[in-house]
Amino acid sequence: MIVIERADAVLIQDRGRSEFADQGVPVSGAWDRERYEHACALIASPGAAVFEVLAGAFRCTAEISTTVAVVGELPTGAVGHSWRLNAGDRVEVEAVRGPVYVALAGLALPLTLGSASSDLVSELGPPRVEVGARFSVGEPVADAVLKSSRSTGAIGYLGSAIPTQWKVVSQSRSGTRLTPVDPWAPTISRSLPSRPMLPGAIQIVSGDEIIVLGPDSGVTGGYQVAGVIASADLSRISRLSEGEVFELVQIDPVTAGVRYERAQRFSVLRLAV
Amino acid sequence: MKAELFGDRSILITDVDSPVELLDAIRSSLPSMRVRAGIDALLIEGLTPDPSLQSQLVKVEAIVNSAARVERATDADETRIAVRYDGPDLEFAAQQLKTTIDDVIARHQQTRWRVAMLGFAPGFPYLLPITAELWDVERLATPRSRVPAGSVAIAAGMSAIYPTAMPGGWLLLGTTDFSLFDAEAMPPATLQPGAVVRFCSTA
Repeated sequence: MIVIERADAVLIQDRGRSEFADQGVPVSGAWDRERYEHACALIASPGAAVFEVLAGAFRCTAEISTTVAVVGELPTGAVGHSWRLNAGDRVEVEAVRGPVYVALAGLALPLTLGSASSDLVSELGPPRVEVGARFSVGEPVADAVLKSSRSTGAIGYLGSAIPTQWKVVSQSRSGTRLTPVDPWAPTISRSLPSRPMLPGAIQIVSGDEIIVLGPDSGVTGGYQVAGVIASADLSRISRLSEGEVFELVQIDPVTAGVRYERAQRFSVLRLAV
Repeated sequence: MKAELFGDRSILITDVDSPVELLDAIRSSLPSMRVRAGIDALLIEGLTPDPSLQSQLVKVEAIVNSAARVERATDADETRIAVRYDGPDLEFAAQQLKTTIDDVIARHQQTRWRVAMLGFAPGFPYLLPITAELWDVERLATPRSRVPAGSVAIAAGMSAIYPTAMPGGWLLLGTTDFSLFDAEAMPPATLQPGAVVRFCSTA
């Protein structure tokens, strides 16, 4: 078992419930899919349930030997590796610039609609991780180091033209609200029927606000959609902080495909057994 | 029908008549993809975001264009939902429809409804009138921060039922005990896209 000693804003996440969108169920799952998949690869468990540290600190102590992987940005810089924990060893992380993923080998959790993800909006899956909670974990696996190239620069989207410079107004797993840096007067059609939506869709609320839908957003929406964030760049939306200014650029499908293939290239170097 | 890429993993098809009737045929032709119906649209997810996206679009578009229509439920499968017509917006609805409260209730019950899609929240059905009834009421100017679970509502030519308490701006006609969602059941939503619904008064 492991015991939770601090958890400011921590959820359990895996790949989510995308099979049930036609039932009105949000996709949920890890917000930063790239970091999440890297954390799973480090403990050799694709699709595993992990701790998603959204903000603040997370601390736990192992009661038995196991392996932990940490992927994300800590105050000391970016991390991406796994190591063995012995009974009594403590793991402590603090998230800056987006979620940090803490994956433990063999973390066992019950599934709701095929997923262990916490969806606090729809009240599916486990609640927020609380201090004092205990989780069952498994045997150690080989230590490993992650090697990946991270994309930087403007975030790409497919769709129609919108301004380039945006400021983050608010940030949550339901959606990221953005306001244009320069005045903008889009033509907004008011009488749109609700349509199926997905994470990454860019909804135009007004000339002052757009929302990039997050994993816990409803699966339908009635706002006009400017486009959808490129898969290769979607994880970077979760790393934006309130008040931050960044660029959104329109890209074509071929460029999106090339970016995605490049983003898939990463390797995990196993160190020892 | 108009098909276009919706991001780099899905295709949005708009201007579709009764999209639910196309679900079964498209799903059987594209078993590895996820297909969802909207009110006037279909969303097909599961493209591979590689440089061949445009040719994947062309292939899916051809399948959609040749998909056969299948009615997923008939009047014989109609689900009856009992409602207590005690909602706070009955009078406002009657005003907007220029009629009486009793007539609003009668028309709500006479109309046969079809589940066009599920969304907004798990199991939340968007119900479109099958019989040509005019239900064109505006949403509340200021949405309520909490609509109780089981609320039966109308807006924008549709009716809906709130599975759980949540914010909402539709006009509330009444409440029902009908259970819409069970995460332990398969499928979890009680009313599936295409289902036929008829409302009646609680005894």
